[in-house]
Amino acid sequence: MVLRDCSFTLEPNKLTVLIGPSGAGKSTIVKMLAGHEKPSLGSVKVNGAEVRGPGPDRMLVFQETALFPWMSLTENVAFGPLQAGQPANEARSEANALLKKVGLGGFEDRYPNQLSGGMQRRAEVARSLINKPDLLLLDEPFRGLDHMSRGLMQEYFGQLFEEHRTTTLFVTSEVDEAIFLADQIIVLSYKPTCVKEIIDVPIARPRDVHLFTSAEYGVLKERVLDLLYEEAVKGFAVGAIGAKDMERAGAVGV
Amino acid sequence: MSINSTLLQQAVGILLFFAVWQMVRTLGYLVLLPSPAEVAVAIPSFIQQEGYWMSWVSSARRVFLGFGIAAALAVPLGIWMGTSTRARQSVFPILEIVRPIPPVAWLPLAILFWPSSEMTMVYLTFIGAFFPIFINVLAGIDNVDIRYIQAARSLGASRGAMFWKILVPATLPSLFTGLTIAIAITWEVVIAAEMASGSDGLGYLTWNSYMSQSMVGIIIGMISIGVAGLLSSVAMNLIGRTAAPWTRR
Repeated sequence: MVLRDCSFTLEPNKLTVLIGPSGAGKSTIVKMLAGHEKPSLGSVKVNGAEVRGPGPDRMLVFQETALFPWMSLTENVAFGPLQAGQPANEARSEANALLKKVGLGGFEDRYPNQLSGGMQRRAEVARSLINKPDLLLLDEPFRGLDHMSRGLMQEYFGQLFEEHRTTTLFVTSEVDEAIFLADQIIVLSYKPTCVKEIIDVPIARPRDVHLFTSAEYGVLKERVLDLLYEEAVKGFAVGAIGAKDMERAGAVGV
Repeated sequence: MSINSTLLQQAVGILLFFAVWQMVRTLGYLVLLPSPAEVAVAIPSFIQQEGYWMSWVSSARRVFLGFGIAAALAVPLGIWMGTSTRARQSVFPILEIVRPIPPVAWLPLAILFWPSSEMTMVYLTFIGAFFPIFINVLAGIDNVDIRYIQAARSLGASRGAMFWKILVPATLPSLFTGLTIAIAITWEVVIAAEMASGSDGLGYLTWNSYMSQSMVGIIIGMISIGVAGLLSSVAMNLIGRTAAPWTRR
């Protein structure tokens, strides 16, 4: 059992960050919201309606890039509108405009593998945003980027969010990233996974790196870390028991 | 490394091979073999012989016929079995039993079954090409990253788009791997088939040189077969790179 009676409210046009100890089921939550995974029991509801599968109203940006390698950036971004029945040249010009907006002007005809990791993530965010989803889901989208690119991507993503204001659920395991981006932070508890606490982040936008040295940031960080620590210990303890079992199994030669 | 120096190095490698061969002959070893110089001298008259270029045509026709039929059957079958569990469970076991049988092992049965030796040879090349194409299409479909399918679903892909815009391009590189392996195998098979039951073709030419005790003929026949296989592989590679340009770096 991973999730039980887990329900939370996302403020419309706000950026909510989902943070929790590893193994808590953060990815499972967003995959279920996106409709890629089904709960083994019960149901997933968004706005009171049951999630019956994936759809362009809820877009998920994957952990590592899931851009189609065989399509140019334009084709990737225009894919959603085309499938929605938009005329081809309209979809393409809209895609190119959005690519320019995320700083990929001039790379429209490139294939994803010709771009850096950070560029791929931006293209993927564009591919999601173009469908004007009710809900934008991001599952640790900046994982695997080097420290510098990650910082830049956070700043960039924050600015982009201020422009489009799509209701966003952003999954991360990094406290700094969470506070830098969030309007509110949902801290998850470890199994059964549920909302442990919701913390508002009242820091004004636009935000930049100076945020990290402010007093309110320090207070927030301590609060989130305390909560996470409590839950991480639980997860760790479960792992420790598992290890003990393994030891015993090894001793009797199982 | 630039293209020019790569080419240069490759040329040096080939020249070195012939140099060693020539040297061995000059030193008086391997007297059975003609020297590269003797072969080189014989080439102009040999390739002007009646039937030399026809041998190319005959073999190439068999290769491409068998290969073409194999591709036309193996690709849809691979897609069908890659997308339907029921199809895979019912057809895959028998194919797995037939697959390890070397194409040449089909020869006795094929000679008895097919009314002409031409059909026998084409059938053998077909068998040789079928399995590598089939297996690679199947593997290609199996290895399509689930995230591409999920992303396409989120983006509202229709069934047609899911097939033509996602599944097919995702499988294409693997398909061309299969085709490149298959074309090389068809050349191996057609040569064996021609030696066994042909009356023309590069395999027959080489065998016939042996029968008429023309050592130079054997060597030129072998080199011709090598060049034919190489050209086919290079062509297939080029087609693959053109069809799947995103795999180029």
